[in-house]
Amino acid sequence: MMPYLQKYEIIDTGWKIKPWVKIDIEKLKSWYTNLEQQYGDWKFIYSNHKHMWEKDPGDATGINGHVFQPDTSWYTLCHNSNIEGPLPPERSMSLPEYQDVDDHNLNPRKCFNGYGLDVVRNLPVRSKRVVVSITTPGTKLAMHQDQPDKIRFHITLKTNNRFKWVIDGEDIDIPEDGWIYLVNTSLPHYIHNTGDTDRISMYGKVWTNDVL
Amino acid sequence: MITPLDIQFDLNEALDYYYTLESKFQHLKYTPDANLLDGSNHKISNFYGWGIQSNLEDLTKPCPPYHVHKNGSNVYRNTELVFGFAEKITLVFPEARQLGIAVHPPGVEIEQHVDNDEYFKIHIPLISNLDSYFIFGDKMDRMLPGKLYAVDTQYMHGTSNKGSTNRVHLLFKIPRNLLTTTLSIKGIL
Repeated sequence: MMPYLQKYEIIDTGWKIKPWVKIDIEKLKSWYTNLEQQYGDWKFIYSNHKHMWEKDPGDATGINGHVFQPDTSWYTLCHNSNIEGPLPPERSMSLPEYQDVDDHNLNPRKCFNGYGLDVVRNLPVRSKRVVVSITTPGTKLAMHQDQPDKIRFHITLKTNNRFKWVIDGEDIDIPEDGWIYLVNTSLPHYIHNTGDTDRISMYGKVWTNDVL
Repeated sequence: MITPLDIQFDLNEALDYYYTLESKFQHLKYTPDANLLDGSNHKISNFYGWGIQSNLEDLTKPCPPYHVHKNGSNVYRNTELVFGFAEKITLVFPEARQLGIAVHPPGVEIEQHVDNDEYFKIHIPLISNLDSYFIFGDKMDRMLPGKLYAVDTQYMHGTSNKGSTNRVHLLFKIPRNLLTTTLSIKGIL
């Protein structure tokens, strides 16, 4: 069983997801296009960068962990270091040389700039560990909870109608509508891209007590 | 009328099974058609599902998860959908019959009716919402994902999804003479 499947206390926020802050989604998509063009070689691609894990967080069976596809990928946008290039999105399972000291600051990397960074810096509360996730077809995150002291904000940049979030037993859509959504990730949640196209999102952590 | 069973299962595994049907078995997905025996006031235009066990002669054709097809016989056979979590169900409940998955999108209502009293039903909610109900007369009940429920369908019953998200149940029938035995099963699937 992967460590990220550990069970935690559930925080009663009164909602599973909620729209939080409105942004200019077209501007953010344009920022993402630039990220791909200028920092494409900073993208952590599951099949290409396995050597950066101390323990591979993937489990092809889907029983004891997440199912990643060879092209499942991430941009790690925050890191308390000057390391350049791709970095594993799950620090706790990466090799020590790719881990950083978590000082609870945003620590934007060089690739995290422009409107993408403005969006996060303008949030009404502090945040950290921001990532862009490219959830390619067949990628699945097994039912899990996140540590309840921090929940996630999510911005959908691209999705399809067969990308599924199940949060606390409910099929919930986080639409591509220009809202930043808060997601109560202390609730058990499951993600599966059963569609034929990528689902791309930016997400990060916020302190639960800051948003309640 | 609804009795939760003391049986645990891995909802993650069950969801994997359901989404495998959604992604790889669209050719066996049943949607209401002219072969549906109806004449009722069900609101099922956007209903769909999979007959994991089929009573159709041709097992490569989509079969409804309910016993409602004009061309259906009383004999149910395993289809190619019996694998993974569904296969586990057939091993733990060898008397399971009419195993299927029913998807009730928002607005689907099954009018109150009674089923064949030779059987009772087991429902395994996989996805639901707080506005999706099982209705017995004037009583409305909720079933929560992650549990198995025995439902006594010899009494008038119906369903209504008044929520804004899909309600997905895996369900099957068990002969009524096994009701007491089934209710006493404890363990992990």
